[in-house]
Amino acid sequence: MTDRAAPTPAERSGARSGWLLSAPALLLLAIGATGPLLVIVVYAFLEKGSYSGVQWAFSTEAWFQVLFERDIFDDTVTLADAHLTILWRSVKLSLATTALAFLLGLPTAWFIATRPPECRAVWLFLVTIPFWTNLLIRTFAIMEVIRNGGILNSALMGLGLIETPIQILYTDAAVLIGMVYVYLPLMVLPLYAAVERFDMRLLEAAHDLYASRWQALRRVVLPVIRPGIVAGSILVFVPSLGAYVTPRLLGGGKNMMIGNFIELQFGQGRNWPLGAALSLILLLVVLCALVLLTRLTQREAEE
Amino acid sequence: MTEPGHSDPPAVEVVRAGKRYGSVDALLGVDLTIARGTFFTLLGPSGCGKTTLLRLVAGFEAPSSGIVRIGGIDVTGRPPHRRSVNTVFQSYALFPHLTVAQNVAFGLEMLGRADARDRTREMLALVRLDGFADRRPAQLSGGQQQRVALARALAPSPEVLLLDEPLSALDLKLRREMQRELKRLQHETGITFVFVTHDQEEALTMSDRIAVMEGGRVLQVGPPREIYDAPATRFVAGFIGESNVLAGEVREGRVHLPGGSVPAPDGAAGPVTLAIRPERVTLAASGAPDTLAAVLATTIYQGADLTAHLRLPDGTEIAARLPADAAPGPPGTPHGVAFAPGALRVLAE
Repeated sequence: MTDRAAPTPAERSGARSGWLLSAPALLLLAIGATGPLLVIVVYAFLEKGSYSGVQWAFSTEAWFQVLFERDIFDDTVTLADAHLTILWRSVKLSLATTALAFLLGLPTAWFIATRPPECRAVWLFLVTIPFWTNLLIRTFAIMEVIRNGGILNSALMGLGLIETPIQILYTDAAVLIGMVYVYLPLMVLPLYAAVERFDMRLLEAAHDLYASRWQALRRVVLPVIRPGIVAGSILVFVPSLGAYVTPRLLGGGKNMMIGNFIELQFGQGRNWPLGAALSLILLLVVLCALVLLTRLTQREAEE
Repeated sequence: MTEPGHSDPPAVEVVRAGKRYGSVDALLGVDLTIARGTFFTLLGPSGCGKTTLLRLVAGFEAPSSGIVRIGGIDVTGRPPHRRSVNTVFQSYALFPHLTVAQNVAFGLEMLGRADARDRTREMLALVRLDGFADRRPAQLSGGQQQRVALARALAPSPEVLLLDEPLSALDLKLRREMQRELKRLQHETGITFVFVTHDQEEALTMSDRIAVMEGGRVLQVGPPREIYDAPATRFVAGFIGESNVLAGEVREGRVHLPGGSVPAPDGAAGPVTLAIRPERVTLAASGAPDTLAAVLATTIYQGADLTAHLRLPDGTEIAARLPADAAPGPPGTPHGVAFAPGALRVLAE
């Protein structure tokens, strides 16, 4: 009875001042996050306007359009496979970006974490340098490297390895390269944090117990640094899925990702409700991925 | 213990092993032979090279020079996972993401042993952790973690078990308990244990043989009694137990020391450095034959016994361990200092 007594006045005023103190943050959250999301949810259930914007009438047409196409003349319904293709390409490219960033990020993080402590800050700074540069400039720099007359192709031709330039720019490969480059630091940093905490004696113990290097990596290192892997994967996968600038510039017009397609609906497509619906689907995919990944780590921790 | 036959190669052989880190020599041409089935201790202060030597045997480090053989086979260039040697680490290094049973089974699984399950259960029973198979290392006490580390290292039945100061993190009571436990495990498994410690008491109570190390060298190897009773050098005499170290000169079968002369130990000649344990020093009447003239400086009561510090004419102090009921009198009382026959040892410098 007594241990669940009513809060004393002091406790109550403490709770009140707590709310007051966090009010600015809560307000910002309400306006900045919840507000726009609400607008998107509402717009997704309205009719599209004639030129742009929305008409204030309830409609599920946008959701229908996500999956199906209605012929303008005879109203026949066909599956909107273009939309699915774009969504699938986005997921595929984002997964590939995450995987590639991990394969490149783990050795990088390992390398940095095994340097003497005083050198690590320098290496970490070098990894984050691209972050201090404008995304557009970095993307144009990549274009300069991979375009047909660019540095990479010129070098390969100069070495006599190829005779005609390889078309990389405006392909999925270009988008992949660009995204891996842009998001790699987001993978390296959490991996570094995990590897730095990793007790290297565990590696000796694994070798001592007859594990080869590969077995030690798979059975000991990866499971122990798993929280870092999950954090890095989320940090890379989520923005990759919504990436807009990189696929637009490196993928050209034809290799759209979902981000570009959404932009198209709010721009030339003049179909705001469809854009809103697609945004929500993207959000849903991201949330599913997050839940899945968190579940994975939690189960491991509870076991 | 059975004496190993002549055809049996020793469990571990280290031949002129040297190890350099940059410009620092951690080991200077160490030669060591460890017989099968013994509890062998590497004893020395921190920085003496004992852990480096252990790591050479485990394969975590390659020697800068010399050879390491395990069971008669040269393993100098072999990585740790290809040596039949397991290690109990000072920090235990248990895998935090695995359960106790999975930790113990790790080595067995890496070897692809079909009996991993049964063997794991057997090992957990051996270290008395039957009920803990599904716990995580973080849920165990220090002593329990220690047992898991032992079970994990013993499970693959290595030819040699290396123990790197495994008891240093435990409190005194638990340490005593684990000392007995280690002796029992070594006896039951018959595996060669190579145990690293800086604790001389631990070394004396547990070992079949001890190698005393200092400055990257092995100074003396022998059974505990020999190391204690007949230290070869001043360092060994000082490091293991307490010793009185005296400088004297041997003439005509007697060693002349400050305050008198006593019969010289066999084979001693010329100027010598001698060591004698406090418990082998006794008090006699002042001026008795074969004693040194001394006066009492201080007495320290220690419960079970009494230590009297006596001053020789040149100011050298000599400690004598006496029964607790001895009454050497107030400071300044003259005494004759006598040595138990054969207890005086000549030290190599």
